[in-house]
Amino acid sequence: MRRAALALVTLMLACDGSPPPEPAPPPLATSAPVAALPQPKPDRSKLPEPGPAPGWALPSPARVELDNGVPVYFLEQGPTPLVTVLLLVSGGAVTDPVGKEGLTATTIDMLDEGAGGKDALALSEALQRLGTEYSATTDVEHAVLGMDLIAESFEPSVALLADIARRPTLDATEFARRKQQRIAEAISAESEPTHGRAVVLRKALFGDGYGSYLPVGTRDSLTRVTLADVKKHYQAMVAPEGVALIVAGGIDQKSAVSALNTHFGSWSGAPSIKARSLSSAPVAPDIFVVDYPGSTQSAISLARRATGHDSDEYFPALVHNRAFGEAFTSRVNMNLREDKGYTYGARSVFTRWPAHGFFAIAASVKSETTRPSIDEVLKELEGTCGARPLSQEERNKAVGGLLLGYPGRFESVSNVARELMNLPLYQRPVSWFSTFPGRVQAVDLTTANQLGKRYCDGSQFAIVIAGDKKSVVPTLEGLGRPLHFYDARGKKLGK
Amino acid sequence: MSGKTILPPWRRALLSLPATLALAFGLPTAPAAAAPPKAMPALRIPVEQYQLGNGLTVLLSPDKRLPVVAVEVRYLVGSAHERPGRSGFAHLFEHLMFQGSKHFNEDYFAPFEPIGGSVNGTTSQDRTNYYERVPSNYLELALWMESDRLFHMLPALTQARLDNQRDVVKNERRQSYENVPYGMSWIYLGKAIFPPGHPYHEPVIGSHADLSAASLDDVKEFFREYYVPANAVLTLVGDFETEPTKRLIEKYFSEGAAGKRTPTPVAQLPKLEASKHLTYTDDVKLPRVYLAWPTPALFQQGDAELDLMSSVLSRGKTSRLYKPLVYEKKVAKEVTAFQASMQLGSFYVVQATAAPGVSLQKLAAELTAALQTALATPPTADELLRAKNGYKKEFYQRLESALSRTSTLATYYQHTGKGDYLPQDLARYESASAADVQRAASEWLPLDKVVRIDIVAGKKSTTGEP
Repeated sequence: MRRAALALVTLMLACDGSPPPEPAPPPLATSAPVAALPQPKPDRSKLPEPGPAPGWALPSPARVELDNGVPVYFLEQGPTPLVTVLLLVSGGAVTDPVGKEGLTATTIDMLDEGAGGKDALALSEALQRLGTEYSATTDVEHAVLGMDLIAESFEPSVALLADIARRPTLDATEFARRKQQRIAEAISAESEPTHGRAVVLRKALFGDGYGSYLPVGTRDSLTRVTLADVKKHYQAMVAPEGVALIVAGGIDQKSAVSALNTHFGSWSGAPSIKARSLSSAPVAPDIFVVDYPGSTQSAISLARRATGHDSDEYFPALVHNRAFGEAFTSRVNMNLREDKGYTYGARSVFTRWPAHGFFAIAASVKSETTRPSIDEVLKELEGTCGARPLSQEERNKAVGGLLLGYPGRFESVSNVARELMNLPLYQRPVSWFSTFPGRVQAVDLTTANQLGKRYCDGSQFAIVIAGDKKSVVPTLEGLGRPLHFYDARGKKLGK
Repeated sequence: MSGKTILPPWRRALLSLPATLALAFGLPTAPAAAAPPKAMPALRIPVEQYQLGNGLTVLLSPDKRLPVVAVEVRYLVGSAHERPGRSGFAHLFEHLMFQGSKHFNEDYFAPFEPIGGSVNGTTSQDRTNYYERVPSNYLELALWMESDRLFHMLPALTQARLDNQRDVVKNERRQSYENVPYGMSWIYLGKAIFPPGHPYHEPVIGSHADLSAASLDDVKEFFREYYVPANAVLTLVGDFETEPTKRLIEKYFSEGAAGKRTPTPVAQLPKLEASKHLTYTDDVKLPRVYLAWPTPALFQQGDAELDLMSSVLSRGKTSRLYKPLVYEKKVAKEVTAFQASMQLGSFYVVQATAAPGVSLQKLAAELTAALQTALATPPTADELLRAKNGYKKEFYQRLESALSRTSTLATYYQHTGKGDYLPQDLARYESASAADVQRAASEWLPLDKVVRIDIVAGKKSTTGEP
C-alpha cells in the first residue's frame, strides 16, 4: 500500500548514550538563516491551488484462514515496530439475558483475570514484561480482545491472547472482586450527565429490546450477575466458529499466520448464544429528563432509530451527515456554536450496529440555552425537509472531505486494525477499501437529499435532557411533547 | 424479546461457500515461550532545524509513508504569560485565531474540511499550538493559511467574534471542568501547588469573571507582543520534498518584523514547608483523595525517573499501590499516579477513588500507608524492566502519526533547543537505575510535606474557590 520506492526507514537504530544537556531556553537565531534566493511575494488575493494529486495505493488487506477455518484479516504496514492484534467475538451485549444486562461485558472482562494456568497477577506481569497492552471492550453485537504490542513480542503475546480467549480460569475470588469493581464503576458513572443521557436515550429509543441499554449494564443488573452465568456465557459465546482475528502493523503475513495457527489453529467449537430482538413498540417522540441538580449545562440529544450497518443508506448518510452535523463547519455546529455560542460543540452522528442503529444530534449547552438549542436543532432538521436541502456546494465539500481524508484513517496501526475489524463485523469484502472512493463519489446531490428527507422530521425524534430539572423543565412548555423523568440508571420516576 | 441464535456475520457469509472447515485436532498448543525482552533500541528520526531571517524557527522531518503532511505552528506563549485579572486569555486568544484573518475572513476550518484536513489548536501553561494534517498536495494551502493568521489576524477581529468565542470558551469550561465529576480538581490542584503570583496558579481555562473582562484591546496587545516570527516554531512532518518546501516557507513566512522571543517567566519551583489539606464538595457518588507535590520541570533530572515511578506505583495489577488498595484490600475503586510535566516546574499526583462503602478517612489512611511502603524500597529489576518496556512502546506510538510527531519534535525544540532531542529523551528512561528512581521518589514525594485534596459528595462547586 505504500509507495515503496519513496518509503524511508525513519526509525534508525543508534546507540547515543550521551548525557542529556542541561535544559536551556531555546536559543535565539543562533543558527544562520537559510541563504535562500529571494522568493516571490505570496499572492494573498486567493487561496493557492493544490499540486498534482499524490499517488496512493488503497489498502488491500488479505483474508486467510487458520487450519480450523478461523478467518484472519491481515495488513502489513510500516515501517513501524508496532503491531495491533484483535480477536473479534460475535455476540455482544445483545446476548445479555433480561435483568442481567452487563453479563457479556463482565464475561469478556473476566478473561484476563487468570488464564492458561497463570493467576491474574502473573498474567498482568507477563504482558507488561513484553511491553504489550491488552484491553477488552464489549459493544452491542460484538466484543474485542485487543493487544497493542511491539513486533518482536508478537509470538509470546499471541500465546497469552490464546490463554485469555481459550483458557480463562474464571476464578470465584477474582469474579467477586471484579464484580464489585464493575458495580463501583457503574455507580460512579451515574454522576456524569453524558452517561445519564446515554442510558436514558437508549431506553427511550429501544424500550427493553435490542440496543436498549449500555453494554456495561447498571449497578442493579450487575448485582444479579453470578459466576455461573459468566461461565455459561463464556462457553456459549467465545468459540472459534464465532471469532475472527485481525493483524495490522510491522510484521509479515507468513510469520503472523504461523504464530496464530500455533495458538489458535487447533481450537474447535461453535457458539450457541441467543440475542434479543428489536422491540416492536413504537418510539415515543417525547421529552425525557434526567435530573442533575445545579448543573451549569444540559447534555441534550435529539434522536431516532436508524437502520443497521449494511443498509443501502450507508454512503448517502456519510455524505449528508458530514454537511448536516458531523463536520466542524456543518450546519448544526456553525449555528449552535459559531453563531449562537450556546455550546463548545454540537454534532450529529449515526451509530450503526450490524442490525440496527440510531441517529442523534447532541450537545452540552449552557443551562439557560437548553430550550433555544432544541429549537435550533429542530429548525435545522426542518430545513433539510424542504426549505433548505443541501446545496451542490455542500455535497461537494462533504464528498471531498471523505475522499481526501481517507488516507488519514490509516496512520496508526491501531486505527488500521479497527478498519480491518469492520470487514468481518459488517460483512464487508476485503475490496471494501478500494471501492470506498467510488461509492462515496456516486452519492449525488439528489441521493444525499433523499437521505436527508428520511431523517428530517423532528416530530419523530425523542428529546433527552440531562441537566438541572428545576430550571430547565419550565422552559420546555410549548414543545407540545409529554415529559418523562428518569434517573441515571434508566429507571422511570414519577415526577 | 424471543431470542434467536446468533451466527457471526462473517460466518453467515461463509455458509454459502464449500465447507472447507476441516477441524484440526493437531498439536497441543505450545506453552508461551518466555522470550527475554531485548534492550531498548534508541530511536532517531531525521529532523532539519533552521531559522528564517526574521527569527521564525523551522523543523522539517520528511516521512513518505502516507500522502499526508502535518503542519504545526507553535507560539511560545501560554497561560503562564497572562497578566493578573486575565486568566484564560491565552486560550481565548487561540479560539480567535480560528475566526478569520485579513485575506481569508471566514472560519479557519472552512478550506480544510473539504479536503479532509484534520485541524485544531491547543493551549497549555507553556505554549499555544495550531495544526492541520492535509493531503500532501495541499501543503501550500496550509502554509498560506497559517502565515495569514500570523501576519494578518487583527484586521478580521471584531467585537462580535470576541463575544461569541467568549461564550464558547465559557461553555468549554462548563463542559470540561464544571460539569464533569471531579472535573474541578485540576483547577484546585494547580491553585494549591503553585501559590498566588506563580505563573501556574491560575488554570489555563481561566475564570468566568476574567473571561468576561477580556477586551478587544487586550487581544490586539497580546497579538502584537506574542504572535511574532521570533516567537513561533513551524514544524512539518510527512510527505514533502525538502528543498521546494523550504522555498515555500520562505515565501509565506518571511513577511513581518521579527519581534522578540518571549522570555520564559522566572519562577521558583514551589517548596512545601508543611502539608496542606483542602476539602471540596462535588456531585459525586464516591469520594476521592488526591496527594500532590511540586516536582522537577520537564526534562530536568528526576522528571523521567518520576515517570518510571508512576508505572511502579500504579500500572498493572501488581503495581505497588494498585495491588494493596484495589486488588487485595479493595478500599479503592481505582488508583493512579502520574507526573504532570511542565516548563517551569511539574507536579506529581497520586489519586484514589473510594470503593462503595469505604470512607474517605479510611481510604486516605490506607493510601498513605501503601505509599509509604511503596517508596521505602527501590524498584526491583523486574518492576523497572516492565516500566521501561511500557515507555518504549509509548515512544514508538508518539511517533506514529504525523500530527503527533510534529508536536513531539516542537516540544523537544521548545524545551531543549534541539528538535532532534529524541535519542536523549529516550536515554533518560533507558539509563535510569532502580536507585535513581527511588532517589527521585523519596526526594520529591515526601509524605510529611504534601498537598492533600479531598473531593466529597455534596453540592457541586463551580468557582474554583474552597
